[in-house]
Amino acid sequence: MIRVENMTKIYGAEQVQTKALDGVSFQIEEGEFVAITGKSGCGKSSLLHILGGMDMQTSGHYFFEETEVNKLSDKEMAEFRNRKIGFVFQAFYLLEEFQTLQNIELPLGYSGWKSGKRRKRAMELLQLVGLSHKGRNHPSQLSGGEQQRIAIARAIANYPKLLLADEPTGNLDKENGERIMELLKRLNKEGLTIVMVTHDLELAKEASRIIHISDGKIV
Amino acid sequence: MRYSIRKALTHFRYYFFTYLSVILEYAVGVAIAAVCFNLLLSCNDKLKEVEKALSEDVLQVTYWGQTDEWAISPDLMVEVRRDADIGAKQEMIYVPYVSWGFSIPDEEWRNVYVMFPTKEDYEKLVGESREEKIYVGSIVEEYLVELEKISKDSKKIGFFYSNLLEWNEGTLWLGQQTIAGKDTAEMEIEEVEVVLNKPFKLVSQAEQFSLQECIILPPEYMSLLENGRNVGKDAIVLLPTNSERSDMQAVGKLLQRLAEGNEELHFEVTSQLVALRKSASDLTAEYQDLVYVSVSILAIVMLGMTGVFIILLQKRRNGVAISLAYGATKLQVFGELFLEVFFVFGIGGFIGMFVATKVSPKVVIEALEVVASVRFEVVVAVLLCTFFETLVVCLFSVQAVKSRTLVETLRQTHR
Repeated sequence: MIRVENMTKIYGAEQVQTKALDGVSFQIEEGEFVAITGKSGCGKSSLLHILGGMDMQTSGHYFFEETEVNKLSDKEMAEFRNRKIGFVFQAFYLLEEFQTLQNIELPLGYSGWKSGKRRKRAMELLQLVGLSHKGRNHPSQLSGGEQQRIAIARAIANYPKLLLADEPTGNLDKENGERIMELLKRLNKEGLTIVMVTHDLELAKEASRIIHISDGKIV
Repeated sequence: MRYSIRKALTHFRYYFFTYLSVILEYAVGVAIAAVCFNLLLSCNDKLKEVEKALSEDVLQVTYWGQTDEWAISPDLMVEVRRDADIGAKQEMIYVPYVSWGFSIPDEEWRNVYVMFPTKEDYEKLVGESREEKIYVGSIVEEYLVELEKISKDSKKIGFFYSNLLEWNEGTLWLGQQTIAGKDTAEMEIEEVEVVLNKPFKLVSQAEQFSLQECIILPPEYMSLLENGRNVGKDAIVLLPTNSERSDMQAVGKLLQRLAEGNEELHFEVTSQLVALRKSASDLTAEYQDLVYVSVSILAIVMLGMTGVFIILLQKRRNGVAISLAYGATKLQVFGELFLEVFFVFGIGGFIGMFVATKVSPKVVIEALEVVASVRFEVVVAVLLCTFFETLVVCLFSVQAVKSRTLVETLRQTHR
C-alpha cells in the first residue's frame, strides 16, 4: 500500500541544515498497524507528515497504492488528503467555532457530501466513539479524551485508507490513553491501516509492527 | 460551495461581536458616501441639463412672462397678454390662459406643457393669416373644431383661442371671442366644463407665471393625441408667429429642429439658467469634497477590518491548516475567508444603503430643485466597493498570516 524509497528530508537554508530523514526506505501493507518510534526530534513526525501529504520530502520517492504522491498537483494532493488519509494529532486540533458534529463533518464537506448524509455519517461516528450525547457541544466543553475521540471520528469520517496518528495519547492521562488505543486497535481490526507515531514503547507494542527511527534513519 | 458558505456563516456567527464595530463603521461610511454621491450625481445632472438648455439657442426664452408684457427671446417670441384681441393682433404668439397672469408660487413649481398644432394647421394659421390677411380668430375657430374632433377626450384643448375669464375646480369659463365683421368683435361668454388631469390648483389669478421648465412638443404630437400621447389636458398651445417683434427665421429654425425628430425640447429662462449653472457647478464642487471624505472613511474601515481579520486569522491558523489537512484546497479556504469578510461588508453595506435610501430623498437643494434621489449607479458602486474592500482585506490578511507549509502552520500553532 505504501512504499517509501530512499527518502530524505532536510530543513533549513544552505548554511544551517537539519537532516530530519536520511535515506529512509520501507513498505507498509494494507491492514497493518505500524508504530513509528524514536526519540524526540528523530524525524518520525516529519515522516508522518510526508506520508499524509502535508509536507514534501527533499529527495526520494513515496508511492501510495503505486501512485507517486510528490508528483500530484495541489488539487490532487488536497483530494489525496481528503479521501485517502485520516489524521489524528497530539493536540487534537478541533475547531472551537464548530460543534462536535460539525467538526466530524469537516472532511465530508470538502468531499462534496450533502448536508443530510454528512450529518447521518457524523452521528454514526459519534456513536462509534461513544459520544453521541455530545454532538452539540463545542470542543472546549469536552475532556481531552473526548476531544481525541472526536478527532479520531473526524479522521475516519471519509472512509480513509490510511489513518496517521501523531502521538495520539501524548496529551492524555493513562486511562484515556488506553481508551484511545482500544479504539485504534478496533479500527485496525475492521481493516483500517494505521501508522502511529509515538515515543512510548509500551504503546508501540500494541501495534503489529514497529519501525524505529534514530537520527533520521531506520534502525 | 454550499459547504464553504455554511462554514463561512458559522465563523461569521461565532465572531459576530468582533465584527460588529466594523459592520457599523462600514454602514456609516457607505451611508455618507451614498448620500453624497446621490447628491453629486443629481447636481451633475442638473448641471448637464442647464448646459444643454443653454446650448439650445432657438429655445431659450430670455424673459418670463407677466401680465400685459412680452416674453422675448432672441429667437422665439412669446406674447403674454391679459386681453388678447385676436382680431387686431392676428400675427402674434398667443398664450391665452397665461394672459390672465397665472403664477406658480416658488415652492410649487410645476411643468407647463406647450404644444404646437400640426404643421399643416400651423401653416394654415400663420401662413394664411399673414398672406391672405384673414383674421386669425376665424381660422382658429375652425382649428378648434378640428382639434375637438382629434381629441375627444381632451375636451377644450384649444383654449389658446379663448380668453380664460375665471376658473374653478374642474370648470373653466372661457370667453369665446368671435369675429363679427372686419374690425369688430363681439364677446360671448361660454361655460365649458373641462376635466383636467392636473387642475390649476397651484396657480392663482393675476399673479406671475413662469415659462421655466416648459416643454415644447413637436407639431407631430398633436396628431398623436388620440394615441394617448397628449402631455396633458391642461396644455398651453403656443404658436410662433411672424409679428414685428418676432423672428420668422427663428420659427424656421424651430421647425427644422422639430423636424429633426427632437421629441421634447426644453427651454428655460436664460438668466436663471446662468445662475443655475453657477449654483450647480458650485454645489458639485462642494459635494465632490464630501465624496472624498466619505471615500476616506471607507478606506479607513478597510484598514480597520484588515487589522481585525489579521488578528483573527492568526488566532485561527490551526483551523485553516486543519481544513487543508482534511482536503480543502487553498482556493476553497480563501473562498471561505472571502465569504466571511463579504458578510461583514455586505451587511454593513446593506445597512448603509438602507439608511441612504431613507436619508437621500430628504436632502433637497431648493435653489437647484435637486433631490438626492437614490441612484442605480450608486447602488452598483457600493456593491463594487464592498467586493473590492473584501478582496483587499482578504489578500492582505492572508498574505500577512500565511506560512510556508501546512506543517509549519501546525507547528507554529502548537507552540
